[in-house]
Amino acid sequence: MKKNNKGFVLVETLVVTVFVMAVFSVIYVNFYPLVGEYERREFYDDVDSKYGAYWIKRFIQSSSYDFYRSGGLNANITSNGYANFQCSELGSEDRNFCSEMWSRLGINKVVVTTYNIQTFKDKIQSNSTGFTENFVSYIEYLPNFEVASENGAKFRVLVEFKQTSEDEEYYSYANMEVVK
Amino acid sequence: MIRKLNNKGMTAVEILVTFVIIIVIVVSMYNGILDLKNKETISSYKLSLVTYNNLLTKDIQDDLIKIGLSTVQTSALDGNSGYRITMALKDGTKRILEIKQIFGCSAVDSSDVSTLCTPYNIPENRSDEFSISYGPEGDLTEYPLPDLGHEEINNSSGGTRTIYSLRINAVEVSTANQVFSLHIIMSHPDLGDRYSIDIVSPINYT
Repeated sequence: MKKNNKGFVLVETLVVTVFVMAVFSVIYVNFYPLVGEYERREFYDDVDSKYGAYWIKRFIQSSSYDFYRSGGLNANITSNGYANFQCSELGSEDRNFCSEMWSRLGINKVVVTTYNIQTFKDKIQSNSTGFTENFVSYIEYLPNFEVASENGAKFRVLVEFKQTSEDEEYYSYANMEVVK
Repeated sequence: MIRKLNNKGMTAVEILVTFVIIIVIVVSMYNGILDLKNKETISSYKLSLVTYNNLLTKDIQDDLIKIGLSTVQTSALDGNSGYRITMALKDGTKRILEIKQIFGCSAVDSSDVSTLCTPYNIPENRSDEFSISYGPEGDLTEYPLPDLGHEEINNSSGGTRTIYSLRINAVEVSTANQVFSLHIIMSHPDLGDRYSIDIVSPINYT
């Protein structure tokens, strides 16, 4: 009986090689962004950012801040889904503390929204003007916080910090519930 | 019927080609494996340093947030070997933070001593000494820096000195405008200075 010992022809080898390369390319393209995503998440809710966000939450919760005034944070959150917080909206003593803390902590943006951030997420997904790409990634990464707060918090503050290390800029983020 | 066996074996060329292919695969994988091993080591360093920073930050911030900061004073440790930060809290107690920062002579060759150590008044046989202590006055707890690699260098006069990879490079303290900020910059050849300690708190905030 004559055996088939011809081996693979060139076309067969090429087809298999191209197929294997295509599979590896697909794996690489899908896997590589995950590495970058993991490195970026390293600075999500890290301890320094969390304590920084805590102080901003304290300023928002302070009695010197009229949260519910006409055109204030609550009004903007109701109409827009979120509101940008500025130290200038605080009473004089808190304003000075807040401005100095803002500068020392390297705060870039403070956003106040509802405790459950589902609506806020939808809003940002449709229009992210004013938000950095990194901030949008952080918002998408966060859970919706669907279970009500044990402390009765109705709002949530999200803080973006701009950090510099060895002349390289990077962002870190933190969120805290706000009892108001 | 006698069945003829295929006992031709492989030719020298086939064996050669197989070996070449295996060598190419092993060599290309070797670099990848070394890279992964290196990444694993750096990740474990990162974890140790982040855990250390978190623990120390939490202990200090707990006092500043729960009790409240009243005043802050900074002075030099004996022999200018670091910083002593005295934090008076609102309940009348004090917390002391001592940061020891003694740089050893990192020159590997004796010829480098004159450029790396002598201009900065660092004796050739001096080892690195970095540590942070924190706690109530008279009852400080030492927080030894994690050992993320070190090198024993021979002194020209005999004996060895220890140079650590993780070093406290700088300490920045400010109390301007009633806000206390402390930045302990720690650097490591593989991690840079991203994993430092940052504490910011208002002074006398009600």
